[in-house]
Amino acid sequence: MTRRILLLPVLLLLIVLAATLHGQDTAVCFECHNDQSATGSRGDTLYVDSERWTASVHAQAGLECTACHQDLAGVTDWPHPESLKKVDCSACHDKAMLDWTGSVHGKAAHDKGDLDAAGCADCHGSHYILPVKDPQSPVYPSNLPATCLRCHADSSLGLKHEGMGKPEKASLYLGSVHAQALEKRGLVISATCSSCHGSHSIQPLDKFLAGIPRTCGECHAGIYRDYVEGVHGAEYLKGNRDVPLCTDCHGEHDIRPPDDPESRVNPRQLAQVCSRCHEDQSLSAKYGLPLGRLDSYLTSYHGVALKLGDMRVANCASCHGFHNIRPSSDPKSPVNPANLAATCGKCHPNAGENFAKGKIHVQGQPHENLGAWLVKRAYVLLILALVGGFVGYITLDLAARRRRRTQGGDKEEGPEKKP
Amino acid sequence: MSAREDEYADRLVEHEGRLYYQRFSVVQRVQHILLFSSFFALIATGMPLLFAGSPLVRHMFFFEGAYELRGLIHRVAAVVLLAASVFHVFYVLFSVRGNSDLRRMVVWIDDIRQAFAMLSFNLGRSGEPPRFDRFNFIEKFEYYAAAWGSAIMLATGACLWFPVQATLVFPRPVLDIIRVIHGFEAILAFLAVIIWHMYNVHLNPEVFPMSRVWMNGRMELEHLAEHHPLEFERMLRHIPADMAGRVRAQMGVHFPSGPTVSGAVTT
Repeated sequence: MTRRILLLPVLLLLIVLAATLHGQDTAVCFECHNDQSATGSRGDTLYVDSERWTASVHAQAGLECTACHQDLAGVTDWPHPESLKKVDCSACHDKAMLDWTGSVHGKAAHDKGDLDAAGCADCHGSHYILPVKDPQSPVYPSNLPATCLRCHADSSLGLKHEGMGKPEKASLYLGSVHAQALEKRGLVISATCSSCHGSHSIQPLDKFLAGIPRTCGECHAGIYRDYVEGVHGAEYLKGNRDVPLCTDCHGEHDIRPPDDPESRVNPRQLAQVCSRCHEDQSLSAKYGLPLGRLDSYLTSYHGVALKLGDMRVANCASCHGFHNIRPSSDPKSPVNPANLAATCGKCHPNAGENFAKGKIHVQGQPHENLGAWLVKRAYVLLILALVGGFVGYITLDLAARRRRRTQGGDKEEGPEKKP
Repeated sequence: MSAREDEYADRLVEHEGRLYYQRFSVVQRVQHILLFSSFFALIATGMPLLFAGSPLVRHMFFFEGAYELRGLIHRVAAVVLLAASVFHVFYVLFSVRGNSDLRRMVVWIDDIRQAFAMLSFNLGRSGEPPRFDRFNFIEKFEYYAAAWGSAIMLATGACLWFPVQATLVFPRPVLDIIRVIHGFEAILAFLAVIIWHMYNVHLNPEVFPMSRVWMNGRMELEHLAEHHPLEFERMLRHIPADMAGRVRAQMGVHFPSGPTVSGAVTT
């Protein structure tokens, strides 16, 4: 018992002693390195801000300079040699290091010796590393886009390194709904770079693409559920790579809300987005998709009104749905004949069965609506005949007047008749 | 077709000391103004739909809500045209002047003959133009074209305005046909007005740059005597003798001579 009672103060003494000893270590470093004018032989600054270091996550955890700069451990001869070994974070952060080594950054650094590739310090900083949860950290959600864009918006780097993607592409994120939520509302759970690409284990695009719906579905669970119910998502689950993934309609970095005129799923752009596949000859042949959807839409009243800026009219999604689009043969599809009247009725209250009859996507072919085709032909002929008649009569009239005038007729001079 | 007793009571009007034939009364002129102003508003707000792809049309719709405004103007103008049309039907049936003009507007075999006579005159095969009555075959054609066109456009337009109600009567493919009719009839009407009517009342050397009859309703007696001799003569027969004398005195050398003018009393 007495031994145990003695043990506690002894332990405490040891701990305090250790702390002060270490404290002395760091203090020794700062005798030189806390000087803002201290420079090395190449003129590079040797300054380390002691206050910021003290606030850093490593200092807070009680680490000394030598915890990272291990080649200085035990050095007693000051000043120490100038060139130090590169700090190896994996001593503590082995999992992160392993992930990074397998990532696009780590592979470039390791396999190609690419010095431009992002290493630990490029994103996290070095002496003043803050916890990820600290709003000042460069990898805190609000700051992460700017951190990644330091390289990924740099066009000279983009040209230099294949696979970095086009620099303007990543910058598009800043205009996206995700970035706006992050920036304007401080919504830190909004998607940033790492939400989709990962952080340490960033993979090249071909490995990343196939997982996109699941990636988006991590936040947009309801939409993912709708998507896999629809024909596109069901095919995706079967491994079909012809179907649109989230990014095919919404864009990648530049995802905007549907009511944004710039958004690809805004009514203005939507028809063009759908027709990228639905006007595609080879896809049409492969899956038996009917062609001419876009043209027949744009010549309909809805399409015309949309072209002239009326956003209230029906677009593709108004009738076909969007995330869970089903073929018209599906009884649950809004364009199934049994549901058409109700679908029209969403905008045209009380639309009855008659309203929904007949082909919707028509291109003026006789078999679609013979009456309309005949009327159109008849009118064209009538207009041509009438205009021809008008022009003929007027020409004749003017020519006759001229002739009468030159022949000395007095029809033009006035109504008097010479007896 | 006996002319009514009071048919010419107000057709000879005095203006600044001169006599004129009153071609259109104030009520008729107002109807014409309503007709063409609503017509042009309808054309301007309807044609863009037929040429939605053209850059010119896109420039028309440069501001927010332009399309909604287009629809609003189109429908307001349609109601104006409908009101003018309904009024016109009552006017030609129940007003003295409207009914008198309607009777003269009836197409007879004579109109066909005169059309051919005009053709042969213009081809130089006959030396004299046909002698027209109050309305010649061209004017009658225009009148019926306008009436027919308005009726078609109003009927089809109403169906397009209220598609849900229209499809209670017929299935939607018929509505598609109606849309085709509405568009093509509009083109037809526009071309008729732009080519035919513009020539007859603006560009025709007879009236260039513009006939003013639609504004003041007055027609020169000389013009009437030359272009509507039958109407001129009938008027002389139906107005008091002293007025007929004034007409003759005013026209002087331009007064049509010969046996055609009966009842013209010289003083």
